Amino acid sequence: MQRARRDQRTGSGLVAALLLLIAGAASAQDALPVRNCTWCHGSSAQGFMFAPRLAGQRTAYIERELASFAAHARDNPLSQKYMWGAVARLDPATAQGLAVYFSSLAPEAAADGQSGLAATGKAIYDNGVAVDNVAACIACHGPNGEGVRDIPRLGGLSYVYLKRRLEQWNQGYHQSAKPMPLVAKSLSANEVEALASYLSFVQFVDVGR
Amino acid sequence: MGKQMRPPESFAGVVGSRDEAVGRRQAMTALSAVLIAACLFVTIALDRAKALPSFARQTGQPCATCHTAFPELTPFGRRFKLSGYTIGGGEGLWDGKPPLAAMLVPTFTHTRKGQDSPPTTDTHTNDNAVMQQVSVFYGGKIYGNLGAFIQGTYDRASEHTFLDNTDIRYADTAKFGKLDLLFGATVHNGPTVQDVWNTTPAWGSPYVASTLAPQFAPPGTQIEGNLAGKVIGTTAYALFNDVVYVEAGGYHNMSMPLKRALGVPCANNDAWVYAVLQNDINNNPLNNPPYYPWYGPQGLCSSDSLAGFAPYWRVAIEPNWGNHSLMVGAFGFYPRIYPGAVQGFGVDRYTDIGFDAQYQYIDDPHAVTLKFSRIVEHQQLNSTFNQGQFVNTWGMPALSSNGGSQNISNRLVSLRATAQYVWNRTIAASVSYFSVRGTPDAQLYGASVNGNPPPLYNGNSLSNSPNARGLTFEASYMPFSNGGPPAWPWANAKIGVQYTHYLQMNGGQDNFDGNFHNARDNDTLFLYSWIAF
Ligand code: HEC
Ligand code: HEC
Repeated sequence: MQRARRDQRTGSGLVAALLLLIAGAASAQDALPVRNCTWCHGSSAQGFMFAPRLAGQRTAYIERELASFAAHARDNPLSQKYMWGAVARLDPATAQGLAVYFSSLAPEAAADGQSGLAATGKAIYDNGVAVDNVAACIACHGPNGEGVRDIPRLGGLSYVYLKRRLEQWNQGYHQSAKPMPLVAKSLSANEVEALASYLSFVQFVDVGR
Repeated sequence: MGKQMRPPESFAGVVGSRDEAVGRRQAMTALSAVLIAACLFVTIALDRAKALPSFARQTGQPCATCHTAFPELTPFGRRFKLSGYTIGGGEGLWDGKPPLAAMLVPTFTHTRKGQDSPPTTDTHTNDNAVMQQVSVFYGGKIYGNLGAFIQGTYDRASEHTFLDNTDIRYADTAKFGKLDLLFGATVHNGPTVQDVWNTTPAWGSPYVASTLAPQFAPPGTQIEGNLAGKVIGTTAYALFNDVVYVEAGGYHNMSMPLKRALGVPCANNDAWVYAVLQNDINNNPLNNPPYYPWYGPQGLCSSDSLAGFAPYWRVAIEPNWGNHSLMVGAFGFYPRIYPGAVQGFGVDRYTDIGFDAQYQYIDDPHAVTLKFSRIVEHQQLNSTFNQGQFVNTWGMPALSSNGGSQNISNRLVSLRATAQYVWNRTIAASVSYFSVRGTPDAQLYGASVNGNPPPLYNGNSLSNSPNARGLTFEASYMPFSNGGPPAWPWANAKIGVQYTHYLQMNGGQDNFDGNFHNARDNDTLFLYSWIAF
């Protein structure tokens, strides 16, 4: 009997807590709909499943990608399936706000590549492969894969995502992403593996957004 | 629904009441009031907004984002549910589409051998084509961080309309030191209705099954649906770093008027049933209790009810990487039950502990899901046992769902393992193995009790055993997973065929009950189609 009463109290307490939360709901209205993105991209946008990390990505690049999803220019299957719908009703001001927000979050390295390939990857990244006509990525993406302006940060993106991106340009998708379709053309499968592995381990270097 | 419901008395005095009986009633009233308030809230929201969107409209995503094969969830679908069904990205709350979704489930059931008698009044002993279920949903954001999944269902087999799986929740996010926190609270109407993995009973395999067959079905643990729709669950949960999930809370009985208002069959209190019976016996010269509609959807009967608060907990870890999602978890449920809502014989105490695991590989066009769950239940059947010992005041057997038990302590273990492959989110094939194992109990499961013919709901086992095993094969086609017809792109449909083969039933294969019933006679071919719009 004593027990029953305590249990009832617990129940009432829970109900009271819920009522408070419900009352709180009325006031909580996010100015920026961040959660519309983070349920896929991960709670702090560090990437989740095949949705890539957005944290620390460059503002101008995020904005441009959002525009290319909206224009259906970025047309690889995952983009079509998930991002076309996600941006269909995004107005430019909100898109910009989200880009600024996500670029301000400190990124963490996915570090999910094959560590044995990292050294090879770094060599290709830094120097290119002259005989195969592979450009040195460093020239545009920077010494720590940090990117600049609308050239994306690559350091610490997940291996799975980087690999898929580099492969898809050769499958004819997203040809508007100049100059990457051209750059990717000369990469062999092994080189893609090595680059994606290396980049997944590159730690965050803060050079502003 | 508000019309049938007794108005809530008051919220005052819920906390700190000295009088236990009053305190309890008020606590129940408060719970009922929350649910009523939530229902009203929804109704008002519906009236105001001609445009509450279904999940697909609300998120702007096709079904395939959240489902491998409807209703099984992907990791994104789980995040959507944990976020309180509030995630947007598609049409806003005011964009002009009907707020509700509806679902029709026409089915056809064939068993290897016909049943002894038709499963319901106007069906046949075999080959039944019926509109098994018609449901109406409210699904999505209500306001701010508050959202809901509410299902009202008309069930053809029992011919009643009731509040089906319903989950109203509030969720928010926060940073907890370096940890990402997604947290919330839910009010729902049955254990595991709120769970996000399809390994737990409320949303587990099989996702749809015949309600007209088989004639013999193995017993289940308490968490596997015995209390579904009859209790109010309140739990709080948190997801850390998108990986570690913890949840705790518990369940309360719904009051008799609330159960009746929500359409729960046999929603009456046993004492009330007896009082009415007694009254009828005294006043009715035919001594024949009439089945007035106000006795409840199934006339004059009661069903198991909770005694007090039943705690529930759940933990899980879910690492996700690339196209892979793994989950390993456990859950516990501790109901104390008045069997048949009969009081005065003590309570049955149950301990249900579940272990579950799931692996999903999700890519295009392939998606694979492997699921496993094992629930171990310890039963301490004080009341059931006592009810079997006593002859009650009216000289009739108690209105419990069984005629007492031989043992006070029993064990029941329910296991299920499922493998599913889905192609392009449109064609799915799965195979499931299930088994129920338990302590033999002559009175719970036996073919005859004290030499008398078996009571109506007895298990009818010559070996006094609840043991059963079987396999379920299923194939289905979901034409609209990646987008419906242009006129209504959010539509979803599933056409499926399911075959369940019973390897063992009631502890035996051939003639398990002494009445020449064989396990394989129950083999069920089931054709169904779900049409949601
Ligand atoms: C339903 C899941 C989902 C939702 C919701 C979603 N995304 Fe994405 N997003 C993805 C996936 C999957 C990809 C990867 C596409 C690919 O591989 O090309 C992606 C890619 C992106 C990219 C490209 C990143 C890069 O490095 O090129 C950006 C930018 C992006 N999303 C921003 C957003 C924003 C902003 C929102 C919220 C308005 C959002 N996403 C909502 C799943 C989602
Ligand atoms: C001439 C400059 C240039 C060079 C050299 C270059 N990139 Fe890029 N890269 C870009 C630009 C610009 C983009 C953004 C394209 C777009 O989507 O609009 C980009 C995008 C990418 C992306 C997509 C990132 C994401 O978040 O989705 C990857 C991966 C990439 N580059 C890898 C490489 C690699 C590996 C190399 C070396 C083999 C390389 N890039 C060389 C300019 C360059």
